[in-house]
Amino acid sequence: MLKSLRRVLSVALAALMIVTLFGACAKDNAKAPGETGTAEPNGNKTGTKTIHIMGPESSNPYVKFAERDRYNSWKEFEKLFQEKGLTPEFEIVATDQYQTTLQTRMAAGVDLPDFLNVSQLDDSTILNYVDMGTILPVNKIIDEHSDGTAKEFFSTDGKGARSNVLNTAEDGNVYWISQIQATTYDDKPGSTNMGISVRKDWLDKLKLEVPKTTDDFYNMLKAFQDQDANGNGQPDEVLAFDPAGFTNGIAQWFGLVTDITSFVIEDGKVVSPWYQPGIKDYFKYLNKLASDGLMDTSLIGLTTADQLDQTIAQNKAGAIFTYCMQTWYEPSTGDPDAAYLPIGPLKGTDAAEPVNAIEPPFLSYNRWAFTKECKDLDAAGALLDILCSDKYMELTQWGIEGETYEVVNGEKKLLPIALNAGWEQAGKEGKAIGDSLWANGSMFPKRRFVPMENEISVVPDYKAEYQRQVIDYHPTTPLGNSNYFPVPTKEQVERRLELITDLTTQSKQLATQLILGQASLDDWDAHIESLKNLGLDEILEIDQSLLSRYKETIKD
Amino acid sequence: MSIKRKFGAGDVVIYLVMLFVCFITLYPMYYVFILSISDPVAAAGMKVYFWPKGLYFRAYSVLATDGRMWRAYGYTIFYVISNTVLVILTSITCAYPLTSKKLVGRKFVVAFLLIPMYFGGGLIPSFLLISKLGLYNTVWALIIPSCFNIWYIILTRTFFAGIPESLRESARIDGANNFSILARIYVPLSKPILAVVGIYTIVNVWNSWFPSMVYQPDTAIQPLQMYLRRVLIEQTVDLTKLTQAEAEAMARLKLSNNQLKYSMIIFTTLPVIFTYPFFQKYFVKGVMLGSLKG
Amino acid sequence: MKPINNKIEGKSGGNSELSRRKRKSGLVRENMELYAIMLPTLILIFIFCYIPIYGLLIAFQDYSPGMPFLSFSGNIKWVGLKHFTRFITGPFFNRIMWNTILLSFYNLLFGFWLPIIFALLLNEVRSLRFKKFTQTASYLPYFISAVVVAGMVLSFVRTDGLANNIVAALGGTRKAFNTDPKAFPAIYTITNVWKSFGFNSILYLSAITAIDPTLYESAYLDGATRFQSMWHITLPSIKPTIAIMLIMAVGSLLASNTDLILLLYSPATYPTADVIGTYVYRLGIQGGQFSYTTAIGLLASVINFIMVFAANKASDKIAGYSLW
Repeated sequence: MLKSLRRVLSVALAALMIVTLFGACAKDNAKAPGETGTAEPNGNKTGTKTIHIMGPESSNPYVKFAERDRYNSWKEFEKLFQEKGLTPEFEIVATDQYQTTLQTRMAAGVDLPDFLNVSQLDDSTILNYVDMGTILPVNKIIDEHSDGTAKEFFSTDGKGARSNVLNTAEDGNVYWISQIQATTYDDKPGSTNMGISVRKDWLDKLKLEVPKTTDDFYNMLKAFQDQDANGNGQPDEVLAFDPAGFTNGIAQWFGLVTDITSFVIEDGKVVSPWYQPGIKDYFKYLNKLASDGLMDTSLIGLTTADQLDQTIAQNKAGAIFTYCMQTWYEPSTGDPDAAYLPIGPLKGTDAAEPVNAIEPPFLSYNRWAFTKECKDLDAAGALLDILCSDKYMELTQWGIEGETYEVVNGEKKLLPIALNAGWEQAGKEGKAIGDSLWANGSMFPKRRFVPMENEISVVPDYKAEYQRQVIDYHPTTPLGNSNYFPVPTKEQVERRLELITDLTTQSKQLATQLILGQASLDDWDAHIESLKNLGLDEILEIDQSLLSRYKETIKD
Repeated sequence: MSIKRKFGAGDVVIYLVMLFVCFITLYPMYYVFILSISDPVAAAGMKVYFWPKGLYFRAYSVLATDGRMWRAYGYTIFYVISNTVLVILTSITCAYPLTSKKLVGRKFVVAFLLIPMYFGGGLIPSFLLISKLGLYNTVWALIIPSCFNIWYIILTRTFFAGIPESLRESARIDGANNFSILARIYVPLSKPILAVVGIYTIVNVWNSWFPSMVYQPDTAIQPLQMYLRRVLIEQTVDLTKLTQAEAEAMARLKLSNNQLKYSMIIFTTLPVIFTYPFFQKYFVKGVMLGSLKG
Repeated sequence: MKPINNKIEGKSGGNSELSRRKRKSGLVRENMELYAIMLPTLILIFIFCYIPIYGLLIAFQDYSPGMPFLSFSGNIKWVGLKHFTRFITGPFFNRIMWNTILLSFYNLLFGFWLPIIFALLLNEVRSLRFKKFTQTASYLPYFISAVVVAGMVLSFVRTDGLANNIVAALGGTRKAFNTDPKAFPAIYTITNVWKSFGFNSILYLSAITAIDPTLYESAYLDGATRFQSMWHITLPSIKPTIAIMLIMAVGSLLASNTDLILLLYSPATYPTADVIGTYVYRLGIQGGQFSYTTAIGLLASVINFIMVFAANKASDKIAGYSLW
């Protein structure tokens, strides 16, 4: 018996030993410094305060926060910390893991950092953390521990005023800070938009006019197909876009807003496309495009954009929905003459004025917060002062003069190495602006003040001309509501959550079925009834109260 | 087999069926391969059918020249070997006692095994447990919690049940106890099922990434799939969720990196395919023959 | 191996007090050995499977991350069956359950038997080389990631894809199959079965190798054809394996290959494609509904568990095979 027992045991022991051997080597490697490890509470040892900061690694494949010491812009940034007697300790988590790590660590409540990026927590969860005291009120920290810089930044006249108002919760406190981006044109707020773009080279080839009405658009698509614009002998030229939702360009031609509940900015009233006057004509129009084979119906409502990319890559897309100044679709068609010309908004119906779907000129998004783990509030205040300082803004947006930007005619201009296309080179040479290195939606919030003239000057003329002309167009509707809705109350969030999934399911399904002809416009009343039953009106109410709160506090 | 049959109509049918199977399984994989080495635009348009269009190896060189990939590879091999050995051990040791009719409380043990197959507490309690055990951010987080698999225990037990009682009885008479019966009789006879458990575990561990995602923030010790997912996400971004300036930058990357998902499949599959032949011999011979006659 | 006295005596019969006591102590020793063998694994299972099970409690609470799961300080909101009621009375409940069950059923109908038939046929291939080659080829689809498989399938069935090219060549009109709810079950089932049949056949192949070859020899001598041997020898010998796989398959009634469905479906096909997994996924995107999604998962698990129980009892009564 002993012999066989010994046999079994020895095998098990051998396996265990081998495993442990590997494990020991592995564990030593796992303790490699720099990447992870929580900060040890250093406290007041050498007179510098430590602050433990956690955030995702930059999603930029070449410029990595973990290698920050190679960059001069970082060295300048570090000086800001040293001036305040602050030693930051970083915990960098890979981008794709950040959400999981954030959720589990916060939920477990152990080993929390002092300051972290909490953008990927949903509203309901984060408001609960506020209730539980896991997240500290930023405004109190500013009031009691700031040296004035942060206070001024978030005051009514400061650059961060609007962001601060948007981040104010119902109880009057502010629990997080956000990224800020403000775009201007001609020194007034103005920004870009998304809409339909068509193949300019095909128009030229077939000697067609740029569509000025929706009928023109229809005829253009028909001509593309009938006259084989892409020259492959098949009538496969199509309108390639996804109309399952309302952010698709053509919906806006019929005056429809961009989401189940959204609003026309000039109007201030939250509406649903389903209630708007142009909705039936919209579905009639799309149904016609679909049944006449001018729209690729196999692209509707898919979870990934792969099939859409495939259509464009096969040089079949005569019209697409995208940012008007985009330049990245042309190379992917494989056709060297490809040129996508933005058009519209075209008038689709007499019942409504077409709207333009714009990117809000003021963006305040993503969230950074302090946790209850942060015991040294002076350090927190100092960090806020740094992040609100002019020097930080300059380093983040411009970097270092001579290295990443130059001054031309008194205006700052980014050098090619600092543009997004120059990332690889930036990574090699160690010259990057803060935007790419530490603020790319990651460790620290960015502040960008962008004159659109810069962006317009680098795109082809026909796109630039369109942008200049459409920037004054009204009425407009925003791409996304979050920049106009302040922090909701917990009740509002929970009520919304209870309703929104089923409502979105029904809305998308109904829209798709109406376009494909699987559902009929004759049953319109029943359709609207089904949406009402799922709580559409309630959500309109909630969103309206949020928009009204915004309008009261921010005078645009 | 010592049977010599004439090559008949039945054989023709079988061969045709098998050829069909080969076609529908090999061609898609071949298709993936030629997509991975084709020119990015052609690959995005799915324009290739039989031959690659325009040779383009960046999708592979990006992976092969990345030191992180080889490190992840090494760790994955470690995870695979340790998990496979341990899963086989735990399957054997847990299955054997269930075959004995003398086991008191057998029904309770089986219920004890079945319940976790259907009910689990979710992410956060497991996370808390792993943290409390001190396994968070270590290699052990990918070994200890996964060193057993209840389904394989059940499979092994079913196989054990097919081994004749007479073998156990005769060993008893010779004075053997349970340890030696297990080691000397059941284990040698159960090579087919252990080969199955082995190959299943190897494939599962090889493809797994979720435990690492949750329990291993340190990228140095992560397995291959985590690395591959990361590269893919780094290189592919949903353009409509970005502001216009961000989208343009990402699109440049997107075009040439769309193919990465194809080369990753080839990368991931080849090692497993090369390992499989070592197990195949356990699926071919008649193992029971010797023991019955003996 | 030295014989140990108790063991031999413990095996002897007789009704005397002595032998009864010796049998009892033999039983005790036996159980001690058996439990000693099992114990490490059982402990591991307890630690990693049972300890976290308290997480299921949040299905009966209004839970938000950071709140304790079990506390007497009153920080938890118990809501009883509220989440279950919400799901069952939800507008899409019927459709979700029906789709889940139907798609599982199709998978059972086609996907369960294919690996078995494939294993049986493969076993009859004469050339060892070709046998190994085909076997390896058969499970390659398992390794193609769901994203790529879905991409290939969609490219195949879309309006300008290969499937429609064939339809057009045969004189029919092109149709976007992937937005047709009637076509979805077929597309999904075929893809799912294709992807997994090779890998699932491995188990049956290994069960077949354990069959005694002399059985085939005697059958051949009796004049049995190849297919008769298959029917009368091979198939019955792997019945235990088939039985437990069938029981487990019935216990996955409310499970589905959610990843694949997410990549293949669209709002147009929600009526036949929306299953429990995809619904929970869409809930998850909105965030913050941990209790609700846990309740849904728990409900599905309970139903699955009951199905396994029932299937096992049925299998026991009908064929004598059971999981325990």
